[in-house]
Order: sequence, then structure tokens, then C-alpha cells
Amino acid sequence: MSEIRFCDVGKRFGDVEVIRGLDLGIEEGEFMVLVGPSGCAKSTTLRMMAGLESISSGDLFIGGRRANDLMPAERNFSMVFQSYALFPNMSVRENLSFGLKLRRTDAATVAGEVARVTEMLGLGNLLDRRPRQLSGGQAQRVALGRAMIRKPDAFLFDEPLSNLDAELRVQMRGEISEMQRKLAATTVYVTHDQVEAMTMGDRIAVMDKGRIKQVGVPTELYERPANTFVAGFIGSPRMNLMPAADLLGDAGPTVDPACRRAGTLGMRPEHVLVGHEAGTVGIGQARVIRMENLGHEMHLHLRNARGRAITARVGSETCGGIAPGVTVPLAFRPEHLHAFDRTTGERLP
Amino acid sequence: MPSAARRFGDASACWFILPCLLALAVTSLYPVGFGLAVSFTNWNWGSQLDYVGMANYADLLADVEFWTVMRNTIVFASAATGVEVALGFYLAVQVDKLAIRTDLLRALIMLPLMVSGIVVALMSKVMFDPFLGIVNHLLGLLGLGPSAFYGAAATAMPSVVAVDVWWQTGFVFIIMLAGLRGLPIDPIDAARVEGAGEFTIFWRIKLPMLRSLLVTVVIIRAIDTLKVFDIVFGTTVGGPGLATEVVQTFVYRTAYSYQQIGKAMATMVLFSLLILAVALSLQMLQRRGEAGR
Repeated sequence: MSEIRFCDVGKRFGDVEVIRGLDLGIEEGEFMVLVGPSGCAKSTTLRMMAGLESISSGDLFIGGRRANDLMPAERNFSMVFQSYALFPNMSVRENLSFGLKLRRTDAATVAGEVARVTEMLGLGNLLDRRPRQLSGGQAQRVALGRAMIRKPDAFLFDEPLSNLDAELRVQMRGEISEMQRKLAATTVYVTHDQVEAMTMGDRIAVMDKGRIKQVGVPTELYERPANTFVAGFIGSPRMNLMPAADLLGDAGPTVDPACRRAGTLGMRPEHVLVGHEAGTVGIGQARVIRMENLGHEMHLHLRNARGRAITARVGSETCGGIAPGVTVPLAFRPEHLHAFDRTTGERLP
Repeated sequence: MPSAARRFGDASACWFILPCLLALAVTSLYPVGFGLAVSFTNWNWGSQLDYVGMANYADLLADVEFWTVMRNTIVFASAATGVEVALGFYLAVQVDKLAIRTDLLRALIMLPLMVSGIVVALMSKVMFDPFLGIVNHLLGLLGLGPSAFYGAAATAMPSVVAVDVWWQTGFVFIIMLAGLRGLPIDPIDAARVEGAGEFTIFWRIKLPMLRSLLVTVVIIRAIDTLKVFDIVFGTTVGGPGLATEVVQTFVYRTAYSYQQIGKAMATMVLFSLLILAVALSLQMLQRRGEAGR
């Protein structure tokens, strides 16, 4: 298994600089998720690890060895693509054994490994099928099998679940996590889906415009986002972010002076309280614009006296009497406020 | 009720396609029918028009000249198609690998396609002229003896093939380059990560994905070269002797020099059967490939 380390890595496509000063370390056996919006260069970062994209500046180390100029084959990584990338002219069996045969593995070992992976992923009755005869989930399993079969030093996943329906995505998410746990393999997983990132990764690197905005364990990213970008990106519904005066309203004097001085304040939707309780601070009235009922909880889309949109997440059972058009009092607990610098957007201590 | 609607729909569809069917019948089926009918006569483009049954066919099949012409046509088509497809595909693979802009290179390779067959034939005739041509001059600089090219039986056919290759390789090149550029990148990247080298990627990943396109290109070039006329007519007119006589020039001579329209038509019928057989067998090959995938 391999440790992977980017040191001040940059990537240019012609005159366009897509990655600048990338510093990231992925420990041996770690499940690292790269998450960010479309176009943030997370896939380019993964492709640089795989050797499919050149590195314009800086260094990439794999297992302590400088790997900038290593061919993909020399890195001993496996990669699973969003499009599955199965070889269309080969059967499932041939797809699975492709890498082993390239390494001139003897036929008995190949057959044994194919049987092992087939059993692990439940591909037994699909071995003689061609990729076009497989469903999305089956194709993704074959792609996983092809990645697993030759015991690589690291697994690279490039948005592997994006083409699957919601139910299958949840199932495959579990299977990939399970596989990673069993094999204890270094894994780098690219996704734009923050739910995947939060549920799968040991650590998450949030990227935006070719730069890493924060690296940390999921709870750290959720509870202490380092900047407004991470605060807005991680969490669904997204964190309420707005100028301090607009969020606090008349409650300004009752909160910590540091928060009042902060340019931007953030509050998670589940921390927006409808109604006053002991120990909470009222932030005025807000009108209910829209309600989304998810069964176990309700998302209230509100507008406060300053015209700012606020989202609150409340239990369905606590919504009696609330309806679109109704005005409700809002409150919060001071410890749930997140304060960010007005100009840099960085978290204030 | 649905079946009634379907019946009504079917009848409507027939009325809608009837004009097209009529146009097709007039423009395609009539000439074919007429040609077939004439092949059973001794029509001389004048008043002589007698039904002769299978006589034209019997004469042709017993005629050594006809078989020579058929053999020449097949030799020309096989050689030209083989070299054009191999060379065009090779050039496409090489250009596809280049990491620079290839617009000018592509335009240069495609340039001969813009020239008409007769102009190509005339240009080559001047260049291959045994006394004035630049090709013999260049061969002389290399210490190689002059060649008669179109003037000698041994070199006439290779010369005609070479001219067709120069003319039509660009077609194969541009189609195969488009195919290569249109291949999905992910399976190729996946093979690269799995450890495959460039040769393995080409042979085991790219070529199977291009198989269908390649067979189509072979079908197009095979049919086109079997129907060759302008290149041969503009360079050797089928000579010397019968060395480069192909079906089209043979039919031209039979029809316009000897006024044997019936025999010319019979030749075309037999030749059409040959083209049909070639097209069907190549198509079968393509279907078998697709079924295999």
C-alpha cells in the first residue's frame, strides 16, 4: 500500500492554470475523498495521481518516491471511472483478467482470482456477458472487480456512482466502503456529492477552483468549517450564511462581540430554532415562504425582516400550526454560530 | 380498437411512401430493368434489336478476354483497397498521436481527394512519362534505371494502382482519423492504468472499437475500386494489350467502339453480381463482428 503526497503541485492546460500550489498528503490505508463543485479540478488531481495527466510544476510522491514521470503502469494503482470504462469488445471475464494477463500471471492464478472477485461481488452469472449486456449497477461492479483483482497499491475512484440511480448509489456506497475496510487499501475517491464524501471518507479534502479549501475528518468539516466556501458546500440544506447584522437583527447586543464584529455569520439549518426556549437568543420574526416535508423532518424556507432567506430544519412533529405565509419567531443557541472574516471568508476563532 | 388504428396507420404509411417508391422505381429500377432486358438482345445502338436469349452471357463466359478483364479488375481493386486502407489507417494512427495542431497536415493528406480522376490520370501520365517525366528523372538521380511505367505490361498495373493509392488514401485517412478521435477515452485510460502499453492499447482496445468503421471503409473502397474507370481510361486506356483493361473500360470499348450494347449490358449484369457478392460478404463479416461484441 502507498502513501501519496502532493507538494506544491500545479497544473496548466495551455495558458489556463487549473491547479495552483496543491499540497495534500494521503496516508497509507486511508480513505481520502476529494469533493468540490464541477470544474474545481478534483478529477484532474486524481488523473495526475494515476499518471494520466502530466504535472506542470511541483512534485508528486508515491510511497516516498518521486512519481512525476512514472508511467501509469509503473504506479500500480487501479482506477474506477464514472463511465465504468469497461472494454466493450471483451466479456466480463476478459475485463476482469485484463490486468493480470498483462502481467503474464499464470492461467491457474488468473482463474482463481477471477473466481475470488466474482464471488465477492456476485458476478458469477455474468462472466460471459459483454459490457453492453449489463445494467449500470452490474457494470459498476465489474469495474470494481477489475480494480480489485490485481491488489493494487491504491484505488482511485472518479465519481464512480454518478451514473447510478439513488437506491443503487446508496447500496454501492456501502459496498465500496466495505471493500476498502476489508482491503485496508489507500483509496482516493472523487465526488461532487457531499453526502458520499461525508459517509465514506476517513478524511475529506474540499476543493474549489483548483485549490484545497480544507482537509479534515467529516465531523470537523461539518462542525468547524474553515471558511465560507466549506461552510456552504458541506451540509444539506446548506448553512445559512449572511452579514452579521442581517442574521442577528435586534439580537445583536446579546451575542458575543466577536460575532457581531464578524463580517459573515453562519448557522446550520438544524440550529435555527422556531420559537423561544431557555438559553436561546431570539433573532426576530420570519415569514414561512415554502415547506418541504421529508417525512421525518421538515425544511422551512423563511424570509426574515431584513429580506434574507433562511432555511430551518425541524422535526415534522414540531410543525403544528406552521404553514406558508405564517410568521414565526426564530432563535438560536450562541454556541452554534459560525463567524467568518468579512473579506477573506476565513473562520474566526 | 388498437389493431384497427394500427391497420389505418399502416395504410396511411403506404400512401405517404408511395411517391418515394414511384420516384425510386423510375430512377433506379427502370435503368436496371432496361439494362437487364438489353443484355438479352443484340442491340447495336441502331435498328438491330433481336432477342438472343443467354447468348451474350454464354459468349462472355467462354471469352478469355472477359476473364482477363475480370481478373485485372479484381487485382486492381484488391491491391488498391489493401494499400489504401493500410496506408490511410497507418497515417491516421500516426497523426492521431501527434500532440500538435494537425490541420495543415490533414489538409495536405486530403488534398488529392479534391482533384478529379481524369486530372489525376493526366498529371500522373506526365509525371510517369518515360522520357519527360520527373519520376524517371528522380530514379536516375538515385542510380535506378528508367521505367516504362504505363508503357510496359509488367509495370502498367502497379503504376495505375499507385496513382489510385495517391488519389484515394486521404479518404481512408480522414474517416479513420475521425473514428480514432471519436473513441471514448475512458477505456483507453483504464487500459493504461491497468498496465497496457501503446501497442496493446491499439491492438486490444482501439482496433476492436474501430472494427465496424474499418469494415465500412473497406466496403466503400472495394466497391469504388471495382468500378474504376477514369484512372485507367486517362492513363493506359486498358493497355498495353489487355494489361490494365478493367470491366468499365472493357464495357466502354464494347459499347462505343464495337456497338455491342447487348454484350456490354451482359458484362455489367455479371459485374454487378460480383459487386453484390463482395458487398454482402463484407457486410456479413461486419455483422459477425458486431455479434461477437
